[in-house]
Amino acid sequence: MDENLKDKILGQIEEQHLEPTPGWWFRLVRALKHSAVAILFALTALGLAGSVYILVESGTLYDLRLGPRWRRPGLFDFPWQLLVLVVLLGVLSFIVLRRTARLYRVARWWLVLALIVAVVAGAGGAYATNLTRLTFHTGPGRELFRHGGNPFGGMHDRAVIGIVVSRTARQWVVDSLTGERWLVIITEETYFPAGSDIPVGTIVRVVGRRGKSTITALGIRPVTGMDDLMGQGGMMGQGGMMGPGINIPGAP
Amino acid sequence: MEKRAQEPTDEQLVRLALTDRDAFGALVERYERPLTLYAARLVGRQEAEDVVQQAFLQVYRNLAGFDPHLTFSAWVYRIVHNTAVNMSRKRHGTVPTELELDGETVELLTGNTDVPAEALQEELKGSVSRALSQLDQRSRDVLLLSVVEGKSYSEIADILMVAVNSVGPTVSRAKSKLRKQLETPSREAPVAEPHTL
Repeated sequence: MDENLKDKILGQIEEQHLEPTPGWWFRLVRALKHSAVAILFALTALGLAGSVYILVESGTLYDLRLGPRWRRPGLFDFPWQLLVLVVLLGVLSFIVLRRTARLYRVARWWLVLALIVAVVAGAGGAYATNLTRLTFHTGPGRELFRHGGNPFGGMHDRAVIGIVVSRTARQWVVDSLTGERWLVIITEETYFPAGSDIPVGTIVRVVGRRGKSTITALGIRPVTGMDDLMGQGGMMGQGGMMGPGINIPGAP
Repeated sequence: MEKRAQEPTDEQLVRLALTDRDAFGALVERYERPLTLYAARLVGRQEAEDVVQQAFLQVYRNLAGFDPHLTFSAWVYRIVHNTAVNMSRKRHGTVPTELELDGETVELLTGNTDVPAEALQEELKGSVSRALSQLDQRSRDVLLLSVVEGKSYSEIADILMVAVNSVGPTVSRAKSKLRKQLETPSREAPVAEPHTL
């Protein structure tokens, strides 16, 4: 072994004018790492809450409850963009977290479990406090995820014309004239231009966000003779006078 | 004994070394031999000194960032380990799987205290080296640190940045794999002689 290793090292320090990096630099890096963990965690939780919000809004979750015919929610009804983002952010949180504050000493699966619990709790908090609604309905997420977090297509669709088969305060079943059965979700935002007192057996026009077999209704009104005058799609349908998401025209 | 009690601890030396280069010299003096031996086992004697030099320069630059929750020993071993791996990758494109073993290391790894004749010793070294090369990188590192370097599980966790409770099982698995490899008669005829320290 070289006897002068110490002298060599000290000589190099002298020669290269090396100095220890100041302490504030390390404190800054540590602070940035901790902030990154906090931001990543918050974004992951918000993303998860947003996915649930979009699933509820699109009615896909209701699909799951309706038995065989509606058993499989459509591929296009899932907020894939957002879910992929949640997974990526989750993995990134894990990596940064594990390199922070000696957390590598904790078994990997415990850390994953703790992260999942924390993200789910955070998402629950975001959902319960309406933060998700503010972000994804009226805030920045509206534009970013205007297709419901789904890169393949939108949730708003043509109006459905059908007959009301049954109705409760929150859900109606409507058989369309083309033979499909739709579960219509009524929310506090559903607009009834002709009033909500529509009896079973009435032919109605429903506008809203479509799932595979559900529609979160933005508006419902009985079909009138005027619709026939407006051609296929009617007043509220695509190509009609009023597109979906805009005010439904007044009652006849 | 009294003199030993007055010796500053590593952590005290680290604090002093921020302003006093002699204190850093004392740290280098304290660790240069074990670290050079460790680096030599990882990347060979030829490159060990370069690795240790580079590692100590890095230690010096990062003294203020030393995490007091770690022991200095674990920290400096981690830096040497990473420097060795990086340097080896840079120079050879890979981390060597056949480690350079001396008689003492072979003795520690095999648990055999009877020193065989020189020719047999060389053969044994070859067998142990080959058996070690059959282990995965992580098992080899853990085994080396635990059995040869005598590090505690907690220190190994800090050096390799792994979970503490995974170290014990990895050591047991690696030992039993090594034993199995050594018990299996080698089918290769000539043995490439590994270098010794």
